[in-house]
Amino acid sequence: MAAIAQAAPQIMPIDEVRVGMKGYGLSVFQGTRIEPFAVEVVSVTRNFFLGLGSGGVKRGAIWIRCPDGRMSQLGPVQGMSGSPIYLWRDDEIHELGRGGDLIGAFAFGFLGSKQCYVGVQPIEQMIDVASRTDSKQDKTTSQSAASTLQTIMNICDSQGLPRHNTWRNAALAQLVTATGSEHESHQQTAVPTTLIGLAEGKVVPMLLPLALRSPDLADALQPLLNRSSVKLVAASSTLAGTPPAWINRESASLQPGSVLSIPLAYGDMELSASGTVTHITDAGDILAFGHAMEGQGPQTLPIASGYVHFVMPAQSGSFKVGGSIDLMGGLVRDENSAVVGRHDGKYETATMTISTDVLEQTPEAYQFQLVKHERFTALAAAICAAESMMAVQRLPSDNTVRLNGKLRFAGDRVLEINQQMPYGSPIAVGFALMGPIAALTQNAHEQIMLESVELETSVTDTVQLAVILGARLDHDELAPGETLGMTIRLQQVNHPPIDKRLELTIPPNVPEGKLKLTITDGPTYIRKLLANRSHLRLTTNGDELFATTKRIMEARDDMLYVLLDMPDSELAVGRQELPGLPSSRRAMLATNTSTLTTAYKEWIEMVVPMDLVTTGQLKFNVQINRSLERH
Amino acid sequence: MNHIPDDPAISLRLMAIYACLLAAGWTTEISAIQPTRWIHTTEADFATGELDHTMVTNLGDLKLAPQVKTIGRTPRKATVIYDLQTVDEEIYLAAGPEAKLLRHQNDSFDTVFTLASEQIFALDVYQGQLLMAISGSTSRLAVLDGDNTEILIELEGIRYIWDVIVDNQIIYVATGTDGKLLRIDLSHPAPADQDHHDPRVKVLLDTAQKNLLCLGRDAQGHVYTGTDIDGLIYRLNPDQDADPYVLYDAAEPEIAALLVLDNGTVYAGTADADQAKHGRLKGEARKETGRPHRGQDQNNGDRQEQNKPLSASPTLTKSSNTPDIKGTSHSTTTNDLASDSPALQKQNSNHKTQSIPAKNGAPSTEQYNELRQVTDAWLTEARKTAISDQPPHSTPESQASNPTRASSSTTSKKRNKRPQTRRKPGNAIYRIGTDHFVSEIFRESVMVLKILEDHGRLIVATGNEGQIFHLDPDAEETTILTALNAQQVPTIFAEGDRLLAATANPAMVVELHRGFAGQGQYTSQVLDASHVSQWGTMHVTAKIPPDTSMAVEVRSGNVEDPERAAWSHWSPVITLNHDPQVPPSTPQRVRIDAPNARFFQYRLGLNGHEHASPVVDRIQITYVLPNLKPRITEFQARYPGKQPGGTTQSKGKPKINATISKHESDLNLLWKARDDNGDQLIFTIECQLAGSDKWILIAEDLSTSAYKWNTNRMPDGRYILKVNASDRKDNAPHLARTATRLSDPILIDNTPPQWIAPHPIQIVDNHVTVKASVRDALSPIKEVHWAIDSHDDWHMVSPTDLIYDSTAEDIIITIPDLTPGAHVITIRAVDLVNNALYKAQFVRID
Repeated sequence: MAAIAQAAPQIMPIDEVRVGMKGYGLSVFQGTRIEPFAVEVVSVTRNFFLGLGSGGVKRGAIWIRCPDGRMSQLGPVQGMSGSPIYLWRDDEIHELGRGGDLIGAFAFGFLGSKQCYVGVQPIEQMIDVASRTDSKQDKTTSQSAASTLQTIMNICDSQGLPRHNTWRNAALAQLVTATGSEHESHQQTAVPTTLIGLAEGKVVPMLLPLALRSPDLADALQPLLNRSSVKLVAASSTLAGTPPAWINRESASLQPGSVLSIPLAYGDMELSASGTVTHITDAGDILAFGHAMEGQGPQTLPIASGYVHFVMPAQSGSFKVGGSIDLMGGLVRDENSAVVGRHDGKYETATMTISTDVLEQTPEAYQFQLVKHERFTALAAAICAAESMMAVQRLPSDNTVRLNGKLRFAGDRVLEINQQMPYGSPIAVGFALMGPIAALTQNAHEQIMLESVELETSVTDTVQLAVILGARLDHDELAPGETLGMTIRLQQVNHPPIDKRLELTIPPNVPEGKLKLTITDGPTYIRKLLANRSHLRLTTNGDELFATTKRIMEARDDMLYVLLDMPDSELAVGRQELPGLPSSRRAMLATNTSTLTTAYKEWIEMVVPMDLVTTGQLKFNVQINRSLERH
Repeated sequence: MNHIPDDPAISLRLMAIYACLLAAGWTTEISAIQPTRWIHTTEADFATGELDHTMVTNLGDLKLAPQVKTIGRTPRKATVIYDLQTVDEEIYLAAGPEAKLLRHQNDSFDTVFTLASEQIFALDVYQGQLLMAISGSTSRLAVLDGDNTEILIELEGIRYIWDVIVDNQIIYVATGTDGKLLRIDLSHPAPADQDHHDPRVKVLLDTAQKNLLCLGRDAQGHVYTGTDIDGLIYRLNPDQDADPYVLYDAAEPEIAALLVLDNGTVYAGTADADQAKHGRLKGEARKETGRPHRGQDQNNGDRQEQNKPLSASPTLTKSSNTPDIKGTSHSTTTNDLASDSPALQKQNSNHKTQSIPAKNGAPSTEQYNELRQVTDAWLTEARKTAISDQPPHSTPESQASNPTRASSSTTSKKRNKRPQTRRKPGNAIYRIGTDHFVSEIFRESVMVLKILEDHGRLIVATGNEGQIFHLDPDAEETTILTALNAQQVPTIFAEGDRLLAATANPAMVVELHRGFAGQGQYTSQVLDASHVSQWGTMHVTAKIPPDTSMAVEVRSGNVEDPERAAWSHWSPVITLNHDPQVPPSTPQRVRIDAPNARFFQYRLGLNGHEHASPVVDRIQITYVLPNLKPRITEFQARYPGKQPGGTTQSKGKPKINATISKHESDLNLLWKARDDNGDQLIFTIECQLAGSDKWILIAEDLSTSAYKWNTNRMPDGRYILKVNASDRKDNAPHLARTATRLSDPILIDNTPPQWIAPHPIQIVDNHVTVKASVRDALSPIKEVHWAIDSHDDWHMVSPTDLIYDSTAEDIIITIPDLTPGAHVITIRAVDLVNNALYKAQFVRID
């Protein structure tokens, strides 16, 4: 059956749709060929509120049955979102793929039914969306860093990732939660109402499939997309950067029924969410999907022509497996009823390079373009990193993954990545990137967009991990200016314990008294830092957020931290630390009428490089006594 | 209320009328009730009232306060003002906590700029431009050029700049947290190579303390600085590389304010925040202490300006075009304490060590010789014992300074252990004379944040109750000029005939005009006479200069809070004007026109002008209470060793062979009585036997609250005692009031128990058995003992019911194994009030 392109179809308003009317829809089932499938109207609903209460807009929907054999077998196929539905008028010839008036887009369907029943988004509601593409509405934040990082931590817990591989994200979650509560409350109301309303009605929204290679990765990461209509699905290798040879690239274009692909990353691997074009307006606006992708109004994502390898039948919902062919412009509008793309739509990308050196494999280097988007950049970086790590083989269970690199952000902000991950995993590597990227791109102050990722990874089959077993201090009482010697015993994995000798020089101006000495690891050091210096968590702009993020990222896994707490509290004004203030100034600043000034404690810090990741914590009391000074 | 003139003739006439009234029969009625006086004369007395544009000195003078006016509004986020400076008649503020430079424009302070991660703690003027000492990770000095900042120098490694002094192109900088004093010479260009040491910066002093908080400079160019932690005052000569030395080691840990006069006299204020507490340190002065008399002391000159809160002279003005004058604390004021106060000059010049200041500012050899023995001994002992007391033979008011050598920039910064000093509460201002003797001239529960000299007096800005004090060291007068509605007053600044004070928490700038407010009011606290009283005469002792006056009003009521329920209206105003014929020490009598009531209040309106204020020294209100009934609140009657009611405390097992207690016959009568009029009370004691209705007089006309009554000759029985109190001694008989109180019943029992033996003694073999009863009319039997052939070998006998609990007890005494021959069995029975029966029985064993 030949693909049919209708230059300018007639519009049939929902008021003219009658039960029993027949027609057809257009979609791609394989390759780039647009094929019709038969439909019949089974019901029409008008003027109901889609959404919560009366706050939404009055909507209508047309319910159709798809008597097509493929559709009966597959059910509603994810990726068919936006497929145009045409109905024949009584005086027309009923021939599939010909004639008919456009009533809307294939938008939602029922799961597990014996026949394929589908909801159609009326076309007039979609055209309304196109009328708002030039509105001056600011792009609102669709995702909060706090939500993302909390979801990451939930995934880490559910996946059983070791704490020493995930603690930075925990610290970042604590950081962005302190500043993002207001944003988070806004986020609760930003869920696309279409999806909620229909989910309550046992109707599954048609999602936009985004294929990953690893089923585990797809399942694990899906919670990060819960507020969008993108569905991670497991398919074959997605590391192919180009369409298969049998795809006729020349025939691929954006027209009603063709694949509309949203590439989130491309290059040596492609991450694309796929749907279907519904209609091209006279102004050239490309209407698609029949539902939202995120539903936040203004949108900046690339659009591309696409293809379909095949349709994957599945009980949980069949989906198209495909990819992008050529970038064709950008998505400019994203509402509950449709997305709108334009050939001149703008988008930007960030460059990601990742090199892998896994065991005996030949070192590989991959390069990607990550779409710059507050929600998808961090996720795309994580997926690209994780997929790269397992491009050739799975990681051994006993391993240590080393990450070295830089995350460059707008404003010449650079975060160094320098981490070691005993018992590392691809998803942990992905989250090592995703956490800081999400913290900055999704923060409540200003979007600090990623510019590039440079990451070198290496994997060994030994576990470079040691647990602090105990320690012995040479003295528990000494004078200022003296050196405190200590021997720390560490239990290595699969190796005998080792002793580490350290010496901490007590500064001459340390006050007398009983001081707390802590020997600890990087995660505990950061936790103690953020707990003690609460002002570091109080960020009022992007620069301050970046500064604390940088501080968190700079803490090392392969360092021991020896901290001697000072007895007196110091003051911070905002984030500005004011150590050693005289009491009269402290009295002026530390008032009970202002929370701008916070107290914190200084400590003497010694950072000891180790060859392996250390975990654990010890605490001692050390008495500083001036009378012990040797004259 | 009527004003009774103090004309002696009129007074005499009134007294004659008064005498006639007394003779006509009113004498007893009036003279029987003692009048009560309510006197306000000390600082504490007046401080309980409400001050409105008035103030009270520590000498108990009430007068008009200076005019205080708030200037402009500061931005909401600025809650702290660290420093204030004027340039070209524009007021600039260094504000925080988020560092801002504010400029006064159009009745508000607008933000010139905000610093994100720095602070501005000090401002000054450098070559006609505002100098800003910016503290940060790299502190810097900068000037304001229009709205732009021009950096003069960056000070690598300096975290805080607490104070600056400008001397042409030389700037002295007090810094933290390494406790360095810098001398910056801006006459040289900045070095081209920024990586090397800036030769313009010279470290004059590198102390072991964290922060140098304040600076001062005398006419000879000596620079003074005060530290935190140890409360040291350093002095050094920046033009010579002589060692700096510690001029004084204060007991308090923080010197936050320095005022250095041209002649080297130093006033140092301490600011230990822990000592800044609510309220006054010792409360307001509660005693009349008199006041120093300066008129005849040649050393004090003839300055008589006690009534001037702030001089109207503009000589303190710091011109914004005079770059070498720093604020109000520094020494280059053109009219300082020494020059303005002949008294001080004379005093200093009279000291034999004062005539030639020692080189480098250090004490002279003679001075050292004089001080060394005392001071060194004190310090040595203090270091040894870790107790630093005042030097022997030295009071805090005449304490020698400590000429301890300080570390110079080349010495180690190790800070020696500081002796544990016995700290006085509060913070102080020390005056360190040119002879290096130290006197404490101020101590309060405040932080001293700034000291300003004002014609021989000191203006002191404090925290944490926003008070600005006015000190007159010569007059020993301390006055709270004003208590601003802010916690701290970090800085004050003299400009022309006004003072500008900047506050913290909240931030505001107030203007204090030199001179008195035109009008002020003082409303006394509410007097509670405890009963409805008759109000008499009010005596007002006040100095009312020409062109000033006082208005007096009173009112009364019967609820404590005048706002809660209606009192009488304020009485018509009585105005007291200047009268050259009335000496200030003569009370002026004002008859109170307020209804009889329990509560009373007066209000004084003070009307003055810029240069003069009425000064109220004493207010006395006389009132009388009606004769009130005396009150007896307690009456006890008990024998010694017994609890009230006659019971004996007895714990534990009875002792065998215990000696019996003496029967007590002296009953102690104790009572508590009082008379709210303060009348003397006399007492009468009576008793009544139970069953009788007659009261028997025991004692009368007692003036004490105790009486010992011998009951030995009283018939046995239960009695009730009565004490009667009467105030007839201070009142006419028909006005006398009495009060009576009864005691609990008291038992009088002078009779020992009886021995009843209906059966003869049984003798079986050599065993003797005695059966008998012991009975007492009133008191339970306490114990029975027997002894044989002995007077002290007593044996306890148990009653047949095994418990001594009644006035009749049956006993059986069995004495075994008696030897043949005659024996004497002695039986002793004692009742509860220790009346004892002794009964002898003779037996013979064959």
